[in-house]
Amino acid sequence: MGLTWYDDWVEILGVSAMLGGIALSLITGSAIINYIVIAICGAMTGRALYYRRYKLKMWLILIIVMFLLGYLIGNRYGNDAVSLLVFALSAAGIYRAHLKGAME
Amino acid sequence: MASIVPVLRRHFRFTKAEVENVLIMILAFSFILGFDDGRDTFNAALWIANFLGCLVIASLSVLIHVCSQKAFGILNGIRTEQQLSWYGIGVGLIIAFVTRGAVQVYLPGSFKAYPISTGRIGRFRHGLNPATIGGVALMGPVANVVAAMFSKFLLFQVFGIEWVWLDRFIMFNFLFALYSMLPLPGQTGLLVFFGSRLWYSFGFGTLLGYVILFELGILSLFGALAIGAIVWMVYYVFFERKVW
Repeated sequence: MGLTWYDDWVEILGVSAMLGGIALSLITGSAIINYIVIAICGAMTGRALYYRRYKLKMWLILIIVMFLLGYLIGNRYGNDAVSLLVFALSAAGIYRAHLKGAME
Repeated sequence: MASIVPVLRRHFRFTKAEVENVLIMILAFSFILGFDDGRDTFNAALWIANFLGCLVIASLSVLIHVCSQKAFGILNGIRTEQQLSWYGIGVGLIIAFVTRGAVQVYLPGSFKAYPISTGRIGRFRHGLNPATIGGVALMGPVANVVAAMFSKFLLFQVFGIEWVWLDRFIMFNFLFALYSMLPLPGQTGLLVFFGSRLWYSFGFGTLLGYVILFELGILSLFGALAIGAIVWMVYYVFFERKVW
């Protein structure tokens, strides 16, 4: 009864995103770079959420949360709360920019 | 040749959105290329001077890529519109920040294709098809490698000019061509892959072969074509023939 891609692809992708987040935050060398990287990740998340706003599924939210969790677990330099805030602000900013038609 | 020029003159246009996409791409790639200026301590003036040099390299390379696809598309009765891969640029920037410029990833994005109805009269098939779009897409990376090849041949071998920016231009074009050929969503390589898997294996093998031979100090187009043919044959014998 192992994991199968057909049945458990969300879990597999979630754990992969979490490991990717841990690896990404472990190799960042300073707090500033940490905040810049999490801001870019937030921007990409904001874009993904905008394009799936009418068909938002649980799997996307789960994968984003797992990535964020992994990033915060591996966070060595930056403050966790500030990182979370930067991520949320960046995602919200890009989402709003898409809503206003500033980005395509 | 006489009939090509008026056709290009009539249809070779950039839309406003396309210009914005190309400018954003150029700025992002120059930043990734110039992130590490090779100095131990950061000096803003020197970094900006290095960035401006990288801006020229990225502008030339991206314009060669986009214009060759557009021109070849028009000659095949297709109008192309360059699209930006925001995720590709985001990934490139993240990798540049995390590795401090040591690893450079350039994912340029793809293009939307529209038929020029008069341009496809008499062609089989008249409408858009993946094979034609794939051929047009392949021209971008090929043009980048040819530009690097000619600049090396003309400036270095004919005129004997050794210039560090020339090496950076050549390396940027090689990386740009190889990354754009990756069959990732929203990339040029995916269009080539969907056009023809065999053409993709031959094209990618040839480009990769040329870059490897170049790095080994061998400037051989026929060697690269031979490597491409080997990759094509290996792919056909071990995968394509059995699976499809």
